[in-house]
Amino acid sequence: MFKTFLKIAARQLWQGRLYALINIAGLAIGTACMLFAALYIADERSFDRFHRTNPHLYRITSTYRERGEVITSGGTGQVQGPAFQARMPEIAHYARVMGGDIYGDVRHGHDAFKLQLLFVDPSFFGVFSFKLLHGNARTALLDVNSVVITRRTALKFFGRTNVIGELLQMDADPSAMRIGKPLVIAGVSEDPPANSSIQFDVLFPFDFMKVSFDDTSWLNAYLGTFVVLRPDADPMTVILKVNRIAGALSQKQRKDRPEASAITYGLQKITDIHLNGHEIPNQNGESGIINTSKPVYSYIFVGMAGFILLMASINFINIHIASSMKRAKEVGIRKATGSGSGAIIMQFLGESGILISLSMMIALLLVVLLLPAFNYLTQKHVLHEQICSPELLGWVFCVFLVNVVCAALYPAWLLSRFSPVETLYSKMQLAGKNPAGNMLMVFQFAMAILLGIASLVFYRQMHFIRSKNLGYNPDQVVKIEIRGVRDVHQVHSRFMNAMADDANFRAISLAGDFGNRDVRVNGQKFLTNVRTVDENYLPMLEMKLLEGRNFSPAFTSDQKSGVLVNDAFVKKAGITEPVGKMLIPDDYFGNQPLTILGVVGDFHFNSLKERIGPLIMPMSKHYGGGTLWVKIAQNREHQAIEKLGKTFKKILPDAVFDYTFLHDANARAYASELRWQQIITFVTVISVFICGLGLFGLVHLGIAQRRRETGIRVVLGATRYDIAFVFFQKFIRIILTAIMIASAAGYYLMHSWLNNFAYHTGLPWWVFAASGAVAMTLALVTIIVQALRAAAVNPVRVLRSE
Amino acid sequence: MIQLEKISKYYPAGFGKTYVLRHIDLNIKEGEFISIMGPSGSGKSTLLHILGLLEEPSEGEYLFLDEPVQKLSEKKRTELHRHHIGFVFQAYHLIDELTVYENIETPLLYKGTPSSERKSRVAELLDRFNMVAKKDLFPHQLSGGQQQLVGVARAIVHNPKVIFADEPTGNLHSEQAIEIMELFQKLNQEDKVTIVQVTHSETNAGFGNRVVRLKDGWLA
Repeated sequence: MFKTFLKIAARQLWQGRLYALINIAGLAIGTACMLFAALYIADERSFDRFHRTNPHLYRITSTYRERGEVITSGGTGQVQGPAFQARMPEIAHYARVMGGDIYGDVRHGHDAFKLQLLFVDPSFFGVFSFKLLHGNARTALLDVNSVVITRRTALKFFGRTNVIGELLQMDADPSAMRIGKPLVIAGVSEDPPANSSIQFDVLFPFDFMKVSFDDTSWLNAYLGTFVVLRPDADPMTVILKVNRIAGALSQKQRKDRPEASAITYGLQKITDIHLNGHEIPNQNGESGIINTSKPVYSYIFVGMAGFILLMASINFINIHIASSMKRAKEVGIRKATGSGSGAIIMQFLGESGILISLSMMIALLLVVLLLPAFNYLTQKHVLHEQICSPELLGWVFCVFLVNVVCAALYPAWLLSRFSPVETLYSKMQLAGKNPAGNMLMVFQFAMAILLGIASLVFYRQMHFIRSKNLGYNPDQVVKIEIRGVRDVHQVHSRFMNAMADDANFRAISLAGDFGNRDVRVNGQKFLTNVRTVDENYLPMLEMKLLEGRNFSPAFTSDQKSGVLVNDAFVKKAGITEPVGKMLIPDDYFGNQPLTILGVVGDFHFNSLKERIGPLIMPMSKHYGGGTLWVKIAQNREHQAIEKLGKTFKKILPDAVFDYTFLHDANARAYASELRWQQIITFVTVISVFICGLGLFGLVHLGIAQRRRETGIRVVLGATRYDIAFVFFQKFIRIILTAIMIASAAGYYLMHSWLNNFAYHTGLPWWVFAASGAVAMTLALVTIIVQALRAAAVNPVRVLRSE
Repeated sequence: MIQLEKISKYYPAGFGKTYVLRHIDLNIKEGEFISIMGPSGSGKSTLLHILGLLEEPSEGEYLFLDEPVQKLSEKKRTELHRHHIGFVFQAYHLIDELTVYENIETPLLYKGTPSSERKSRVAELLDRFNMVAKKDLFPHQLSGGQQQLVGVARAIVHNPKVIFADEPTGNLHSEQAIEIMELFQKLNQEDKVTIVQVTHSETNAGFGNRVVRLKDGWLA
């Protein structure tokens, strides 16, 4: 029984091998996408699970109120960790972690590298499970000038890993300068795993950082404090206790700063951090946590993969139903000879099962082959070994079941309902009329067209962002960072001297960003961006001066008391004649009143995702700034960069020459959008391909089933194009409906997506028309090519066989 | 109107050829009603298909309206089809998805006849064949005889010069068969349509004015 069943199944597949191929290809691609989505989710969920202190490892979060908003941050100050542990037996260990976006220049002999620094408590290796290759985990970070470096850092400097006792220098670091001793390598650790939220090149003792920055405030929230609770401790009780302790200890400080909001503390499992980073935008990345993500990305991935799989399933269903006419006679005979519906369903399900199993195997092969592309698109580091994880195999099985149920059950059920009399005496009227199949096709095409619309809009928006007038000219401008404690004015003037009369350079300017700060003006107080600049800044970047004048060396008072503001600032402050008016920046700038000298036209000092906010620009000659902006002459990039590097080495021999073209720096803000654009384009191509496959299969089947009709029409004088039109007619309504649905859904979705951008393109009608036209053309070509071949068939042979 | 000179048709079989038709010379004048007769396998249908431009002969020359057909392009041949030739089949070969009206209308669509003319022409035929009441029915809702009536109507709707009929009454019982044959006769005599039919029945052949007999591919 089973043998005959297998034999029939194999013959069926071979006979309909074109359709089997279409189905297998579609399902394999859909399944592969689903498996990639599973890999993505598995990787997202694997973050920070390698710590052996799980599930008792928590991060302390701070919740406070700022400008009417309740904010939860993953940060704390320096005091919370030690204070809590000293007063609570429930906290077994704690470790503070400061870093993430802190980089410094570290030197050994003549080799200097820009490295990611992390300041941690000596308990670091007890709280977290990073492997130590050399050195003692408990004592490695006890001395204030001891450091632990990673394997790749050790290899960079020394070419080997056992480098305990070797020395490193941090010439311009404030702490290192105060300690006055070189750094001693006390340990070498394994590189942090890719799925760790905590990443570092060099670990420093927390006390090293405290040498230059000792903060006793309870009201700050910037670094990460991690605690390991005793296994028997109840997190809820711990939270209550922690807040009570903090309330008592911070009482005095809160009295001194009544404007500061009260902070309530919470606990967050380290394994929850990756998908809920509690990062505060525009705050320095010092909480030790990087590369965080959002659950919505996982949903989008599963959603897109699910849609592709669904489209492939629709092909499967449609082709099966359409080809069922061929099997109708078989069903009729089987029933006439006594088979029940159940047995027939099982037979067809079994045949589909073989097909689906084949596509599963190909899907796994595709996943293995395309893993590098997946890693590139998603910025993940999934290894081939991870494909064989039980979790993923579980997914494979789930997808298999879903495929069988969704794609195979309905056609099997439909076939099993054929009545023997109808099928055997050719009274069936099913051919061609298949409303469910048509609806599925409408849905399928609508999805493909919608994706087309999405990728077009995505592309247009990215193009818009990249080509929008920024309010300044970023061409040929290079930014050079001066890190550490340096006399920037001296560095600046030595650069100026070195580049004077050099045809490679057009201009040089010293500037610095100071983030969002309070400003008082016109009787109000609000937040404004602060960027220090000098008199060369505006002309170098070709910014427009709307009113007043630029800084000028002719007026020495400009340095200390002059300020430029942008148009948005003037509007926000509500001042009518801004030039000559006073503003007072916060205490970082000494509460010194500044006189507005000029108003600069609005320019995008942030990415285009943000609206242009108010900006004040005091002078860097007085207030400092850490970045040199250099404008390079046309076509002299190569020589200029070489010269800059040489000059940099001469002036700052111990520092790392680190430069970025302004264009690249701007583009970096859209890196994730660009990646999503690639992903969506990719998905669109796949879905169009699957739609095309399905349509190809259906047309092919339709032509096979309507050979007699085609023959008659040819005899009646139809040309090949008339025949093609007959077939096209059947699908044109489906595609038109799909275009309408996709355009409506696309308009709604793209409209709300574009609104996420402060500056965005419109949604012109041709985006919808173009997507529809592509779908229509695809259908037309698919149909015409086959219909022309069908029409070329000799009608005599077709009609005689009747 | 139709001239066949030394027409042969063969298929390759093993190392040799199997002849279906051998050296057929045939002349058909306008207005004739010819019956091709012969036992099964004698090549009747093949001859009709060659005459109807559905098949090409392997050898020989075929002049249709004084034009050598072998040299015509496919487009040209389709043109001849559309304007001068009508077909009637044994199995009717109506399009199942189209109504009676639409089936009759199809050749006019391919010929490019304007809509108003199409309407009047189809209406005229429906009226003439007493099928006005059935114009919206589908083929499977008709009896065999009625289906063949539609088949004939479709064959003459575009005013062809010649009708080729392949055993037009083969699937019908005798009463219906006579009805169809009388119709053919009327078309031949009143409308001056040339008719070439393949038939087994001497009765049917009696309606025509010439009989061509085939045996083993030879003209007997």
